[in-house]
Amino acid sequence: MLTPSPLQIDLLRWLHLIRQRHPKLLKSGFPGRRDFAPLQKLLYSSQHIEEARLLDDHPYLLFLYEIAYQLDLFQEIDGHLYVHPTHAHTFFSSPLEAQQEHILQAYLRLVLWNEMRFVETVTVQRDDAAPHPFPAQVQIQARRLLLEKLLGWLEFPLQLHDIFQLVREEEPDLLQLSARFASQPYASLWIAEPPNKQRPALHPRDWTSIEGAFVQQVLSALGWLGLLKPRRFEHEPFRRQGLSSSSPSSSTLSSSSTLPSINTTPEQSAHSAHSAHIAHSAHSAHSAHIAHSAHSVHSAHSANIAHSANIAHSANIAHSAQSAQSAHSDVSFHTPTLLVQPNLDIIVFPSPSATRVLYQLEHFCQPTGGEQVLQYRLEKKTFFQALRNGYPYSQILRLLEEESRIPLHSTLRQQLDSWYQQSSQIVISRQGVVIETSDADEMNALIEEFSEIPHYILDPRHLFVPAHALPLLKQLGAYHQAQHLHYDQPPVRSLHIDKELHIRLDPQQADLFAETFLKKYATPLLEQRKDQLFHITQDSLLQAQQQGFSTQDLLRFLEQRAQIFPSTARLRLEALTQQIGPVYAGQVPVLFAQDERTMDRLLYEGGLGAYALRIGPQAALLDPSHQDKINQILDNLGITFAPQVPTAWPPRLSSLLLPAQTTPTTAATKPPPKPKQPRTP
Amino acid sequence: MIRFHWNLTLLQFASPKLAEEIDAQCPIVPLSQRTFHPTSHLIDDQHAESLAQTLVERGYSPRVESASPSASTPRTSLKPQT
Repeated sequence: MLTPSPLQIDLLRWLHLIRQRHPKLLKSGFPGRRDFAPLQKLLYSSQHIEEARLLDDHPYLLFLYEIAYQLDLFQEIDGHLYVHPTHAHTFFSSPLEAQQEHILQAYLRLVLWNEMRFVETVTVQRDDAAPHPFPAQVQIQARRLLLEKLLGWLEFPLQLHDIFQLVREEEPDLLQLSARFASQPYASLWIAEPPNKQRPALHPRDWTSIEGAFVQQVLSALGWLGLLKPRRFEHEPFRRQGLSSSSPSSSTLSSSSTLPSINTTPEQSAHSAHSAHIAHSAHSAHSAHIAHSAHSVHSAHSANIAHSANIAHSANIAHSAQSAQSAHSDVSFHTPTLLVQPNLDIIVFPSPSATRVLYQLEHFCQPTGGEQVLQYRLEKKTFFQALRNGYPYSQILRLLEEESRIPLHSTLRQQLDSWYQQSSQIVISRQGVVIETSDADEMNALIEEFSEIPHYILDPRHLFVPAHALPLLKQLGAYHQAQHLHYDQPPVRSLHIDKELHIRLDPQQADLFAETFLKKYATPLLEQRKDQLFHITQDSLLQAQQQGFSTQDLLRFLEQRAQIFPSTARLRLEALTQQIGPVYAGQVPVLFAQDERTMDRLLYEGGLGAYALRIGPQAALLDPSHQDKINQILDNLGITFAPQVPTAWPPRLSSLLLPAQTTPTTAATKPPPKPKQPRTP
Repeated sequence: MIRFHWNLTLLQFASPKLAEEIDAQCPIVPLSQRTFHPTSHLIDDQHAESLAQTLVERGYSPRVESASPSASTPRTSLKPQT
């Protein structure tokens, strides 16, 4: 039976960590140590990441991160990582073969994970101007080429030096160093030699240290992918795990740039034997565990569980036998994957649908380890976290009931119900629908139709239907005749505003928030037969301000909902909220002259400019605090005040402010024209 | 006339006492767009996650219900442009 590879489980664990911590991305673009360190306890594969200070310090961490990244399993929102629910769900729900194919394709695209970066014995010393010896593109090409070759060579187990020999014969310039650096392919490379010494690399003498190291890194990665079984010791050969040779075409591979699709034939691979072993061990461990757990609960029930386990065990053995006989055929019936025990421990059996179940399980359970079989535990913390993330309780129960090989024990069910009740103290129900009726009678009639639909009655005219029940709404007769308002779209323009800031609200058009909002800022007036009337006054605005309601929110509200928002009404609102004003109107003397030139002369030659502000060609405001000085100047000049507006002047003095075709000047601030100087010969 | 108001977020408390207790610690009134009862408030969905987080920090265990679990729209794709 095909089972998830350690890498697939580690991908699930990485998402588990993201779901729990929402790691923050640092400047490096990776999560920090604080966020990735807990992965040590979660990883299924035996990796030691304790020493890693940065995520990209550790080959497997970076490999895992970038595989998940290439598969789009997570996303960045506001500098934090979040699981991409739709991509992750689709990926882990697809058949295992398809997942492994996607992972392999992702591996071939890896850019951040550069094989030569983790070869500690080779260092690069080059000028900034010189090209890098191991650019990502070349690594990707070399990776693909080598994988194609390995598909053919590893029909039979090979030792590492055999693989080196084959690569050296067929692809000696695998990393394109000779092609790119001509006569000195290793010019910028140094080889570390113990103790603490380095020497320049020599071509081709150091081929094994450079190209050979690359080959070793690729073999390690293929091991992580579950395609090869590499060993650390050279005397143990590499074996193919999942690489297929079943089809004639795959056994005679060409070196084309595109990879053939990688099929998996479990019955021919060691992987299959391994899976069978795991299955067998799981059952043994499972039975022992059951007996133990059951004993700890109570004996009467333990007999029942042991019996169920035996049945499940027998069924699984039969199934395994059947699988062995027809390994290619798909599983024609659904075999439950879980053993959900009364003590809240869960054992996961190998299954073709394991990743789909594991993906769900990781939402609300804590991984607790397991070497032969995966083990989880239903914990209050992860259970609550799942509910907080919007994972429905009904889905938790459905998964456990459908996937458990024994019926859920009543104590477990009680425990989950108890947690659920605790979490029901505060519920945030998103993406739901409020249904509004005209009156209580209409609501009562509607509620009768709602016998099968979960809902909460909010008041005699409103009820709320949570998001998970929305598909049922379309079955209602009322659904098709009702008016539908969508709150992810701009609100309906349901307000009529006049210049006095009287606001008429049409309740048949208005959204649910309009009336509540208006009551914060406006005084309700008499309710008319159809509409509601409000008035925004200085007092009502003052009250709103005292309660901390912002004028900007009011302006935005009116702009969004008013059919027409008259500019005078806006001006009034701004004046009432003191965004404009105050203004002052006082008695200030204005000096008018008979023409523009006379005014020029009075201001600039007569000296009035120091006490006057010109407001037009023939008009200037006089500073009342210097009235005596002004009188003195005018007196000295011999100018008299006319007792009334001379009859020759225009009847409206304001017309003196603006000449017919010119704009008002600011001549008071303009220097007087200089008198023309006679030219000296 | 029946009206369906779609895409709304409801905050509910099990009792008025609990609502009052929580309101004292993290005021609900400014978040409430419409209050039907001291235990039932329509709130702006933008505040849902931060409110849930605040409640967790205060020692409560809110439950969040939605159409699809954690089905938020991706705002940024991390996938490198090739």
